[in-house]
Amino acid sequence: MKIKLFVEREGREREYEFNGSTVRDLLNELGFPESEFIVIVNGKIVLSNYKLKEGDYVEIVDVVSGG
Amino acid sequence: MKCSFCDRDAVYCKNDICYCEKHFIEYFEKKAFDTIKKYTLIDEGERIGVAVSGGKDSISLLYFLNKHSENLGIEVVGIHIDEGIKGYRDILTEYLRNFAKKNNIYLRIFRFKDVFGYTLDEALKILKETSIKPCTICGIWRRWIMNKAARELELDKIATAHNMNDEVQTLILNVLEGNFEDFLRSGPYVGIKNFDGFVPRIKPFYFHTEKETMIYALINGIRAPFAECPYIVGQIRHIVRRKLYKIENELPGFHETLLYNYLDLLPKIREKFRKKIVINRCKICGEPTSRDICRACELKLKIDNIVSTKK
Repeated sequence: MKIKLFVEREGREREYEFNGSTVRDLLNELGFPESEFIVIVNGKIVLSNYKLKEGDYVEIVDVVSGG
Repeated sequence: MKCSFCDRDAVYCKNDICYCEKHFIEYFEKKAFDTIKKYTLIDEGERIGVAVSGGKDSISLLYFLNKHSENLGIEVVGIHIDEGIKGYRDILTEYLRNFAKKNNIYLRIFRFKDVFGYTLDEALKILKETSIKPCTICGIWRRWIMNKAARELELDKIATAHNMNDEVQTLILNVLEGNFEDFLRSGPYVGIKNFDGFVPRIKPFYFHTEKETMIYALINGIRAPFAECPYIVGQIRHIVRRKLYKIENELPGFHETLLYNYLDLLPKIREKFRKKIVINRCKICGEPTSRDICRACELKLKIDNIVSTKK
């Protein structure tokens, strides 16, 4: 499926071809540990077992930032 | 997954209990109130300064204390220190200014350049051939300004947004670097009330994880820009922070267990090891210090000397 992906630390939005099903699969695919990121789908914070759909707008936000 | 308390979708789960946005806010704020009560962090009628960097943690704390200021019977003031890191602090300062204006919160900004005569970027350029690390100078000058600002603004206490992850990192670093006094001085309440020259520090988010604070920020529309201090990469805190997250991923609850065990042990080790500290006044600035010249002035002197010998 194709999703729109915004990874906060990259600061840009991109189309992403995703082969998995859940947010957990996506984080694993991208190499992002669950405890260090929050995922927002279509403006709502979701849990890692949330099932993604074609065309979803997915934001990945770093828990760790600052100094 | 649904919230354990209603039919809405959950945004966070912990120990088999799930929370929707509304119930997460209740859970988060109750934990902060419990910390405030248990450790007597705040008394009615106090003027509390919130040390706010412009990141999501400290803005969340400013938001939380301001939201409940009437309920707690306190006055809230924001204190921001701009150390002058180009491309990092300026972004956060801008966001914070807008946030404070929108929420009608008094914000006072102090700059390294105005107080010490150098931005951090400038100081580090001058000190590049010494072994002084960016976090050392930043931390020392920051604490000095914070203490002086607290007295200038007649604050009773300074609230910082240190969370469970920060605190565990600091504990490990203090052991690693042999800072035994600092190791014994930690906890949600640091300092002694009415002790001449020192303003106590309080940490209402001490028992919240970094992730919980971020969720609280996001639910409340606090989207501080993602920014990482350029000087932290490669520093020991950065390495320890990353390693601790790795341990947490394999052993969920690691931070929490470590922190609670530390707090259980603290009174016993404090009793046994704490030395009586003699407080002097710095011969240059008059601030309280255990030395003749405080570390903030010592650093400024060092930089001034390098600059004058190069002229």
